[in-house]
Amino acid sequence: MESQKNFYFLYRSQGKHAFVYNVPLVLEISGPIDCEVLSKSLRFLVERHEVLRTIFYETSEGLIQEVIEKHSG
Amino acid sequence: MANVDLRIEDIEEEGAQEKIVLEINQIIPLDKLPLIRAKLFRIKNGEQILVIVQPHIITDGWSLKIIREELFKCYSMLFRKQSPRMTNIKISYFEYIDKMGSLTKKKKYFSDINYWKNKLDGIQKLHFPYDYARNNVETFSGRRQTFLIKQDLFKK
Repeated sequence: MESQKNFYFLYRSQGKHAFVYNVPLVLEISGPIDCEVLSKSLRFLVERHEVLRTIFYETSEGLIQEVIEKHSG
Repeated sequence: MANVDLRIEDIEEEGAQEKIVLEINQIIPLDKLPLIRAKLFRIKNGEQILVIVQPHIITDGWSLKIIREELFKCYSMLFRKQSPRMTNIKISYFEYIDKMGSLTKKKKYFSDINYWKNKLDGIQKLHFPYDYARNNVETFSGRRQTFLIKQDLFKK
C-alpha cells in the first residue's frame, strides 16, 4: 500500500499535469489485426489481473483502493 | 461501462505523432474504471500503432513486460479460437500488498538494512569535478548535448 499511497500523492500533487505519471506502452503492429480479438484479449487481461480493475479514492478514513469484481462493469 | 475499451481511429500520416502523444497525455481519473486505456491508430501509410496507457499507480516497467507478453499470447490463442490458457496467478493483488507491507516489520528486513549500512560504512563520496557549482535549489532546467566517446577511451 505504501507505494500506492506515494503515487496517489504524486498524482494529486500534479493537478492537471497528472498525466506525467501515465505509463505508456506503444506497440507497432504489422499485418492484419482482428480488432475484435484484440479487444477481447484486453478484456481478458483486465479480468485476469485484479490490479487492472482497482480504483483509488479518498474517504475520511484515508485512501481506499477497491478491486471491482469481474463482469460488474 | 466496460472495464477496458479498445478505441480505433484511422488517421493521416501527418500529425500522427501528435495524436499519439495527445492520447498518452490524457489524465486518467483513478476513481473509476477503466484505469487502463487502449487505442489503435491505423495510419494511412499502413502503420498500426497500439497505445496502451495506465497510471503509474497500477503499473511499472516490470508489469508492462507481462502485459505485453500476455496480450500477444492471449491474442494468438483467441485468434485460433482457443480459450486462452495462462499460468495461474499464485497470489492476489491484496495478498501481495500485505506481504510487502509486513516485510518491513520483519527481522530479515532490519538485518538487510544493517548489511548495507555496514557495507557502505565509511564509503568515500565521489567528488566529481565540475565547472559550475550547482545551486542549492534544483531548477531542472537544462539542455541536451550528444557526443561520441572514442573507441579507445570507451575500451578503458
